[in-house]
Amino acid sequence: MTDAPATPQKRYGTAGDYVQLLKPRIMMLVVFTAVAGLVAATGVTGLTMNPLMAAIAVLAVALGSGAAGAINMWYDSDIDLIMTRTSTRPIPSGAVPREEAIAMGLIMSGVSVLLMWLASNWLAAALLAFSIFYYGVIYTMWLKRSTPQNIVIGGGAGAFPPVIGWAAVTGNVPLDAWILFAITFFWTPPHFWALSLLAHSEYEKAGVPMLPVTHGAKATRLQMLLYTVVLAGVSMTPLLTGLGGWIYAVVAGTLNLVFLYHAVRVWRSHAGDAGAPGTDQKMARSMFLFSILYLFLVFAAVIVEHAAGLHFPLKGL
Amino acid sequence: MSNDPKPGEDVFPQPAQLDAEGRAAQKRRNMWLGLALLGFVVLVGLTTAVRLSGSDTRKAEFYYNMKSTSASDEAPALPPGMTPDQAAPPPNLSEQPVVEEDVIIEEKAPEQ
Repeated sequence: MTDAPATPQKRYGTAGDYVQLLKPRIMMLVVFTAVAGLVAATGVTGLTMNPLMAAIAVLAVALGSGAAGAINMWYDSDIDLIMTRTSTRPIPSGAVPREEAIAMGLIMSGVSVLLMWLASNWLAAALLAFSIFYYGVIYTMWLKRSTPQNIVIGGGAGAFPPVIGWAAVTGNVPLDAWILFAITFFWTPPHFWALSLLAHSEYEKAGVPMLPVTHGAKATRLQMLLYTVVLAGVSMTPLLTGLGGWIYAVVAGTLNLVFLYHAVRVWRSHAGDAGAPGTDQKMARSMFLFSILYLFLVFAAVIVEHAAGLHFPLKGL
Repeated sequence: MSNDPKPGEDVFPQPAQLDAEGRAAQKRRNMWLGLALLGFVVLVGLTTAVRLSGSDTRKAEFYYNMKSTSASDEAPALPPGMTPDQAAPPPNLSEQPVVEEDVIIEEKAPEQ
């Protein structure tokens, strides 16, 4: 038996296959954080956006995210075929031809940037264009296969949506917008490394230099803990600028404690080591799942405070 | 009858032969593409309509309409960095039309 990848079977793609090409789960998180940026900008500055234009701007962010996902799948189709987790994706499974994926990615990129420009302003459109370039070129084509810091630096691509949302409303990107950026940026490493602890043999097989592959599981667990500590600090800075109020303080504070608990637990475990017990692997898995909930709830707190008029800032107390 | 290929026959590829399933998949794909294009057109149309409905036509008049409709109309603020001289209409479009002085020839009263 060899590890040679199987040749994809030719089959006709369905609409679902084309949707999968856009990485819909990532798209949902991207849209959610963009909406948070949009709502927070409105709440903080008092500037409003026509609801229809705001909806089109959010749609543009979703399309941009999908475009970046399609470009990523086009470029990574060779390694997707090698890894079990990704071998059922539309291109390696033979449902969507590579040329169609890249064509779809490029056309959607153009359409999303154009729509964003029409619906809001050139700054938001430029930021959207840059974030697609960041994910599709800087992360996918350059960083992913060349450095174990790939997802640290590449995490910037996924951190742009709240900044884009903010820029769509105000036409500028003040400190508060970059704080939302920083929260997603520092959240990315512990989130992805928790997954890569579980799948590092797959990454190794595909030749992707993820941190557990190049530096081992122990170093990765330590890095996860350190990034979680930094994230806990960064996620509380909205309280200093007035972006976050009482609700945010309670939600983010509680979530940080739970996330730190997960990080310490994984750090002390043998998750990712050869022959690690199943309970340790489960710890990494539960940290991965909790990290998704963490980001969702932190940004939900921002949305609830500013959209429902429940923003009572702690600043100045 | 000659078996020679027709002009261009060896240059252009043969059209893809699709089976029934392939044809159905192609039809579905075309329908989705058509809907996506329609959606794009609708979105651009909506965006244009919203932008136009929200535009201030008086700003357009600022540069080109020299006749104020009422005395209550206030002159809009100048854009940042623009001086009143730059905003002023070109001399040949002045509000007060230059009227050339007519040459009046006084007729002499007939002598009585």
